[in-house]
Order: sequence, then structure tokens, then C-alpha cells
Amino acid sequence: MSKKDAPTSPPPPSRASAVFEAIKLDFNTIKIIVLTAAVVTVLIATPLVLVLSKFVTFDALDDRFKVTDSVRPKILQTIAEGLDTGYSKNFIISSSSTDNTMLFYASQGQKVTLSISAESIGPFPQVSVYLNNCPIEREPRSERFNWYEKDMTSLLKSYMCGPDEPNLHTLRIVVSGGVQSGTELQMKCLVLVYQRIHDPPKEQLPK
Amino acid sequence: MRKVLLAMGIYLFAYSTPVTGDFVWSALRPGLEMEQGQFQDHGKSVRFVLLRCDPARNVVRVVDTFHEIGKGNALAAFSLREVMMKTGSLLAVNAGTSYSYSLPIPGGLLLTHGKIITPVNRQAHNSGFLCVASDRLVITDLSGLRPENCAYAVQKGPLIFRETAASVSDFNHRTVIAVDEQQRLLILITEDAASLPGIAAFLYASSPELNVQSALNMEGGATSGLLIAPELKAQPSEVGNVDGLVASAIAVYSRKAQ
Repeated sequence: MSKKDAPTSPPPPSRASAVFEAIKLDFNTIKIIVLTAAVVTVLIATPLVLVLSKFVTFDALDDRFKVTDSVRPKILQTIAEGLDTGYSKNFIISSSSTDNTMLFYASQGQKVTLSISAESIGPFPQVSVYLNNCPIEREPRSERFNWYEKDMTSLLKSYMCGPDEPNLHTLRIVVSGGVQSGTELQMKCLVLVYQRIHDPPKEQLPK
Repeated sequence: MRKVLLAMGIYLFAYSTPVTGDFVWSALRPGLEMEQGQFQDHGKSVRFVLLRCDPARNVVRVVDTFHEIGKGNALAAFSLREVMMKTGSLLAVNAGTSYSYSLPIPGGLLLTHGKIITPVNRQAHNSGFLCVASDRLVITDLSGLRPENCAYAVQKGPLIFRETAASVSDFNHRTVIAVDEQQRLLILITEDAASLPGIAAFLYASSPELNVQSALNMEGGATSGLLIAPELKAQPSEVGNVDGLVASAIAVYSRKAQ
């Protein structure tokens, strides 16, 4: 056999291509591992997240990890320190079916004050002002009067004067004898609720 | 398990037993008596006022505050004080629930003068009814209620049984009504917060002389109140909140006035 007729064999792989093949093989393995891990994580995490979202709240996590403990006073309180809350209504009562209530929000222990200016056209009827289920004064008023920032905090602490719904209070104008025809009673009412941010309401868990 | 139940029984017996002695009733008028005292409820002393009213000698009825007091005036207070002032009752005590502090919206059955004002609330758990018929008083659950036989009726709850003494409940200012063996109406109002087991133990176990046949818890807490007319010279004449809004009241009248 001459040298010319000798069969040709493929050239031995170069070192570079061998390294490339090895990396390609490893990459595929890594890709399969990463994809499997991702799928398994998603499969486990989805129901876990759905279940935990019913129980775990931001407040609960924050209570444990104390993330906002140092931040909340500095930022939120600075923003809100001047923001006491006010609720006002100008009651004009000329018939027995006029709206005579105003709702306001105050959590337990917050300072609450009430200012009222009461005037009438025609004879002044007997008027009582109720906070939730309590008259603020024992005797009804029978002439024009003004209250300026009358403190309601201690009254609200009494078991008799608690709110109908938690933290949701009712201010009610009571005219026991009704309003005479031709009389128009005007009651300008302002409720101030102080320092809400010092006692933030607790986050409610979904029911 | 047996040991736990035994321990619970001993605890409830020891701490729910009233310390009242024999009752010394003071007569306010014929057929209307009053007693004041205190009982022990889970180690706490609870002051109470108890009234006993004979419906044969006085008229007992349920007042619908919105229609009888308001009479078209939605700005009224709808309080026990107004019930007494405007209907001339000898005494008035709070009855059913109001869904609102702005208007007296009854929660559950309210029936006055034989007419249904609001229907039965069938969702209410363990609720009971006071039915004032022409010849008798009945405290019953829903299965025993015959509205057509009642001149007046009101729904509240829970019903208080002898077994209630072994249950658990929170402490609150309470108004409880009961009917005794002689068909007299008992009205119990606590000046301190009390539990229903404590009241059940007081009514049934510790005061057998009361002969309580059935008892019903009425609206409590901020609404619980009793007002007695000044002419009866009762001391105290006011207990609890008599100025708060009530959807309904139980009032007692003299037969002459009616």
C-alpha cells in the first residue's frame, strides 16, 4: 500500500475545543439544575405565599424584625406632628327630620375636644348634645351658648360613653321637644382629635 | 379530662357563689318590691338592684321608643328618662338592642300593642323573647314563641339557664329579666360589671327563694339602665345609663293610669 492510499483519520481534537465541549456540558447541567430549582421554588412558594398572606401582616413582621422602629418616629412623626384631625358640621335644624348626627374617628385614649356655637332664629329649643350614648351636660340648654375646645377625653373613657363601633364616635344633637314652626336652630360643631400618630391604630388582620 | 372538668366545676362553684343572705324586700307600691345587695362573681363583688313586679297588680308593657316617644320627632333622645316623662311609667328599664346610637333601630323582634314593629332576627344565636300576654309573662326561645298570643314582645339574649353558671362569658354591666314561679317579673340590674355565669349562679343556685323559672339577658353595657319614678321614693332611683338611646324599654304602669 502506498502512502497515498492510506486511510485518513480525523485530526485529534484540539485542546481548546475539548475545553469548550466540557464547558458546554457543564453549562447544560447547570442550566437544568437552575431551572429545576426555580420550578421547585415556585411550586413550593406559591401556596406558601398564598397561605402566609392571610396571616402575616406588615405590622407582624415589623414587630418581629423592628425594621421601622428607628425610621417611623423620625419620618412619619415629623411629617404628621402638625396634623391633628378635625371634623366639623354646621347643623341647621328647622324640622324634626333634619340630620342631627356627625361621626368622627378617635382611637382609645386620644385627646378629643369639642367646640360649639349654638344660635337660633325664633325661640331657642331645649337642646342637649350627646357623645355616643351620653349627654355631655346633665341639663339641656335653653338659650344660645358657646363651647370652646371643651375636653371630651375623660367622658369618652367612661363605659357608658364608649362608641357604637370601635373608634367610631357619634356626636348627636338632641331636641327632645322638637323644633317649633318658624324656628331655625344653628349649631356649628368642631371636633378636634389630637396626636393620632402617637397611637397608630393596629393593622387589622383580614377576616 | 375528668380531673379538668372537676377542677373547673370546683372553681366555678367557689367563685360564683353569691354571698347574699335572705332577701328583705322593700315595697315601693302594691305589687312592686325592691331589693338591693351584692353577690360574688368569680371573686368579684357585684352590687345589684332587683325589682319584683306582680303583673296582676301593675301593668307591664314593652315601649317602642321611636314610635311612642319620637312621635314624629327624630331629634328626641329616645332614653329611659323620656320613656318615663312621656308615658308616665312607674319604672323603665332598657330592653332590646338598637343597631344605632343615632336612631332607635330595634335589633330583632319588637311587638307593641299586638303589632309587629320589627320582625324576629332568626340569625341571632341563643336569643330569647319576653312575651307579655294578657294574662301572663313568658320568657321563651324561638321554638316556643307565639307572637299572635303576645300583646307586647321583645327579642334579646342569651337566655340564662341554670347550666349557664358553668359557661364562660365576659364581664359587663347587665340588665336581666326573669319570671318566677308565681308569674312575677324580676328585673335585675348590676351596678358593677358581671358575667352571665355569675348571674345564673345568683339567680338559680344561690337564691332559691327567688324561684326563677326562666331568665333572659337584655341589652347591657352602655345601654343598661333603670329609672324609678320619684313618687315611689326608691333609693337609688337611677341605676346605670338612663339618658342613653334605647330602641325599646320595659315599663311598669299603675293599673289606674292605664
